[in-house]
Amino acid sequence: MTRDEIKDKVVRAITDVLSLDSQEEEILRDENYSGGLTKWTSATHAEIIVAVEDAFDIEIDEMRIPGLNNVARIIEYIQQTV
Amino acid sequence: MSETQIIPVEIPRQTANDDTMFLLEWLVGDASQVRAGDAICKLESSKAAFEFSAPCDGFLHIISAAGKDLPVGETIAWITSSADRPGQWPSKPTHKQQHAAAAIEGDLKITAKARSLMEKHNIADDAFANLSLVREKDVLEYLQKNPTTAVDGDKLQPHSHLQLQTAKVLTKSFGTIPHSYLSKHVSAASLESAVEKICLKDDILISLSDLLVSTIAGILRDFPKINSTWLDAGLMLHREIALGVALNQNDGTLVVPVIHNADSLSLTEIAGKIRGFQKRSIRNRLTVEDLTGGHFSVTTMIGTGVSQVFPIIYPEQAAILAIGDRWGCDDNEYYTLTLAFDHRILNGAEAGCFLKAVCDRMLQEKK
Repeated sequence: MTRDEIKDKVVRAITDVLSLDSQEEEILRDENYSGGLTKWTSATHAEIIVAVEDAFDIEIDEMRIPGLNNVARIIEYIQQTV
Repeated sequence: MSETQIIPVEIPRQTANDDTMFLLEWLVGDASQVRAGDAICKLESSKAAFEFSAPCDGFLHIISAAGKDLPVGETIAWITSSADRPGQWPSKPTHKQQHAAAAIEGDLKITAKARSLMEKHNIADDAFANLSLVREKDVLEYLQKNPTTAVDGDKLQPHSHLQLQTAKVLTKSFGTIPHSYLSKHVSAASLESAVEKICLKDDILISLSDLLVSTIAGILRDFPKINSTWLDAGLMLHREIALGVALNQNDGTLVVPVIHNADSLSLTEIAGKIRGFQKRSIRNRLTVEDLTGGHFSVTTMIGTGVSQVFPIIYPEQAAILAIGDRWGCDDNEYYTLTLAFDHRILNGAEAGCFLKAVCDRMLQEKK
């Protein structure tokens, strides 16, 4: 799976779980700028992680979750794992 | 009024819904002379308190003391034409005697409110065959003992095992631990700034609750009584710092997974543990091991709009700390931290020291 494919899948999973509109999805696609997305918070973080796990059929190490704070970090994690 | 006349003063029926009235106080003394229309006592119905007047002229002889809930129709005093108190009152049947007599005769009386409730729940008169007078409380008691009684459209939702367990735990706790509460307001801007600073410094995403749990983990060893269990034989001071973190599940149940050896974990690791619990909670995969062994608990209402929480201490724990949602306005916004503690174990000063230490330490993260 290419990096772009992973990114598309990650963005789709997060867009679905957070019910993002197209503008918010654009913000999400800016890989390092997820912090600008008001719906991506510590309160929704676990839901995001569950959605990504489901999308890639993986189990993310819980200790790594706080560091998975943007799309780029999640892509890196998946590339190392899958 | 003739010399032989003795008139009862009875609890009146004020509303169709009230089967009883509370006798708040007597406004005149025993054996006082009263005139018809004089206020003689204060009664309280479910709606309001009101003054009750003497039905006729004469001397009032009180037979029911104030401070009691009394059935409608009950005689609370007599009014006689002479000041002398008769040796014996007329043989007017008491309220209880009236009930007993009615029961023997099979004459079932049902108050309006009780009848309405019975009709609503399809309860037949036979259900109260052993009573002479059916009151609302009798029907409510019946409903409690017969929980499957339902009206059209009602649906019995069975308790989940988890809900039953939670209920058992909370009932035990509230019934056995003498709770006391202390609260402290902390500047919302300062706390959020502390969290933001950590997130930027370590490039992680954590919450204020994570910081709270981590802070408690770091200082609990300095407050051994807070990390203890009350036993009849003494206070069991726990070696391990095991923190329960209350989570509301999607089905509305409350679970409290435990972070064991929390004092050996960094803030990031504690945040990771909590995200792991949240993840397993979403997936319904929390295990018994996840949910047991806590010695202190933290509960959060951040994001709910509720500013202050008065939590219930879990059994075998000495305290629980709650944080409510941000409240206030403009530059004066706060989070309120409330510590519920077992007053057998801690006095207010000790609990206050702990609460202050938690707040101070959280704010130190900002510096």
